[in-house]
Amino acid sequence: MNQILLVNPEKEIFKTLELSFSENGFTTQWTGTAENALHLIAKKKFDLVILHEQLPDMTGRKLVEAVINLNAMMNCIVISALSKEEFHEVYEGLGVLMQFPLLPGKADAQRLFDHLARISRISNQIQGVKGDRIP
Amino acid sequence: MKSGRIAIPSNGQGGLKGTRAGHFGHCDVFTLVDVENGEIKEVSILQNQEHVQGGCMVPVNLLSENRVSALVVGGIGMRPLMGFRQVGINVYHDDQRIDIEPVVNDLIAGKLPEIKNDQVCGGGGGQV
Repeated sequence: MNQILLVNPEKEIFKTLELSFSENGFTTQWTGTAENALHLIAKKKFDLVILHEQLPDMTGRKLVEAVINLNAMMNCIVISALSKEEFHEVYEGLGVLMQFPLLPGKADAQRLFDHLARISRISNQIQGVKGDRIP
Repeated sequence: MKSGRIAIPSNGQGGLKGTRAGHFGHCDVFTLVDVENGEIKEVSILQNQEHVQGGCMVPVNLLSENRVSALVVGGIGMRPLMGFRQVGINVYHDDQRIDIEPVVNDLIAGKLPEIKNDQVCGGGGGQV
């Protein structure tokens, strides 16, 4: 995983994240609106989209749904002020990787790296796993 | 369904005489049923993998790698549903019966409906 799309009108909120991503070999691209994000996603494969829950032209939930419709393999992270319970209620079923706070920092980037490593380990374990025939 | 491989999220050891798991991402095993010319040819058991938040694509890739062509669920989230469709696995719906065998028989007989977009779980109670 190395291509990350950042979606929020204020680019500054990603400043710390971008530094952490860059130090860990991730490439980022920024855009301010959901429409632009979908335009970019249609042309280029991103591994991860980090988006704000309220964009100027679309809610975060709607954008996550649109991303899934284009490519369900693409992971999404939502920047949100919702409580854990409220977030679960709004985004349940959409397979959102995790919630980020309104001003994500270095610790959030590390949490993401750890989580991605865990998913990667599980994904590697399924290589070559076959069913056992019942006699 | 004339030919293909059906996957049923299952409890415990699975198998045709076993019971279905209500939450496919957290099921113990998948019962795989190979169908040829409308008849069951072989049944096998596939271990599910660890489930983590946002890891919905793990079972999608697991079943895709095992050449599954149809999946029967009681409920499913939008992302895994789209993932299964995008890798060519048709997803069918039955949220009434716990037993595996009658559901498999109905799918082979063409009596089981494909899940619709408005039947996905989420936004207020459901499964991933």
